[in-house]
Amino acid sequence: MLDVYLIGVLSNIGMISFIALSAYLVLLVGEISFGQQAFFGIAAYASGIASAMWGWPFFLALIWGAALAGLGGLLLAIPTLRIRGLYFAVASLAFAEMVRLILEIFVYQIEVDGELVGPNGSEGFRDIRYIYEADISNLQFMIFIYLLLAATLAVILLIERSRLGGILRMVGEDPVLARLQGIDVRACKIATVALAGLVAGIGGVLYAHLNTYIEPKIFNVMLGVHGLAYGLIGGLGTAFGPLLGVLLDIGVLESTRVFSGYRMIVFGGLVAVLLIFRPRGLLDEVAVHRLGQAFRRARRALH
Amino acid sequence: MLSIKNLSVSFGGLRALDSIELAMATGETLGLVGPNGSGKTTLINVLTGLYRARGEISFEGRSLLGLAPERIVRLGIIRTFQNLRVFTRMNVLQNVLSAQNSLAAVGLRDLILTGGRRERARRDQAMALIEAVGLADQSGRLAGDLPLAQQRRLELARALVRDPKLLLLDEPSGGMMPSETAEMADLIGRLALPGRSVILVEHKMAMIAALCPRMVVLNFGKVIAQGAPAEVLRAPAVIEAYLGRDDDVA
Repeated sequence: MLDVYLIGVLSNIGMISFIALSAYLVLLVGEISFGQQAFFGIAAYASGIASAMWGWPFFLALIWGAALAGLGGLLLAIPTLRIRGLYFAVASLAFAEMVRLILEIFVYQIEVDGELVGPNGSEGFRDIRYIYEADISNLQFMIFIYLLLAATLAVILLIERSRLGGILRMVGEDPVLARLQGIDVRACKIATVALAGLVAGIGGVLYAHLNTYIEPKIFNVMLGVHGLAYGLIGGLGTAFGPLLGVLLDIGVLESTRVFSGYRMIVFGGLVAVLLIFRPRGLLDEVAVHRLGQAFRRARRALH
Repeated sequence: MLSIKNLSVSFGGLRALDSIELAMATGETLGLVGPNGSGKTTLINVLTGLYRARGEISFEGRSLLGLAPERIVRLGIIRTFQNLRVFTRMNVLQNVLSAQNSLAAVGLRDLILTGGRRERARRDQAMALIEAVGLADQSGRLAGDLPLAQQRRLELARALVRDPKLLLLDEPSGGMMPSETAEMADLIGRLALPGRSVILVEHKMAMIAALCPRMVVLNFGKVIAQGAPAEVLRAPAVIEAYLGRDDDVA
């Protein structure tokens, strides 16, 4: 049996992977978001309200939370992606802070089984107990997290292999050239940010239901900055890049405690060093290209 | 097919294009020359929707001014770039395939699914063009790793894969050695010109004279001469634009 600590760490890696994938999608189209934590938070709250207060089944709450987060992405993207450059980065941060501050004052409670349940401003939102009431063990939920992550990753990898993924990389590398190949760059970015919101939202739903308690300050800017850094460390050449980033940070730096109190210093230093020597991360496009070639050569040699 | 009337572009106080008048027939190859800064690339940028301008541009009866670049591309106008533009993080084949992504025939299905008969046909077409420009053995290489002359040939293949009605070639031999230039002129003559309207921007007059029955000379944003290359290159205004006047030297 896996011990409780390990299940906790692995579940955490799984849930944070969603926000890393979400930030990666935005990076793929050449924009930087400091605000993916907002979509994580929106979905966490929305799904908690649905399952703990309205009595919805978990799967409906999951779809509802993720959809609302996707809608949030759309709302952020439509007015802010008219202009290129740092504009979107700043707007995404402002949007996320706005969401967090609204959650700080958002009170909506109803009586469930004789107890008041619901978001209570900065006091947070307790008793999102769906999975415990349904007798789902932490191990089972961890497996569920990874099934969802595998499905999400599969969808993103399929997109990357298709022409659609080619379009995203066109937009990300040279938006002017993409337009001159007939691509509607703005529509493409808006759709991607909405999809990224949805992906972060899935993570948020899982987070709320595993922890049973959420509060606005969990969804502060550090969560988004980490999500962003995972792609920049792990690499932007494939969706496995951000997952590698998560694994390095949570799996090694946080969990093994080798660097104990210096974790953030090591993490920040890693980002800085990589931005200088490998600005698109360990698994960047060139690395993925070379790995692909080596793989094909090896396969030919075997036949 | 293309008619430009009274077209002007200003950057602040600078008139980059000044009341340009130009007409092109279907299937014509038009040479566009002029000293550096005379407005050749500006004209191409206006035609492809990157710059705003005043005046009139009509392409097959439709006005182009005010249209977004991606809309203009879909009408069948494709360009290459004086300062080379390829997707450096994609391989050669992916670069050529990228130009097919917005074709009207490529539906949502084709964007998501990787297999299929039509998709294979499109890949074959892309590979055939890569072969035609002599990059067959480079198709798997990252475009950013190619030498300049090969990147220019990649740009040509990428432009042709959409089979544009009007092709704008902005210095396709820029930065090339004489032997490479000759190869490029040959490729353009064989692949690009037949059955297509082309505007060729060049500094190398031999290439213009070999490929273009008619040429237009720009200087300071104005058309200063047009006609057959042999005559235009003898016109006093053209010689003055390129070499200066006698009394400039004194």
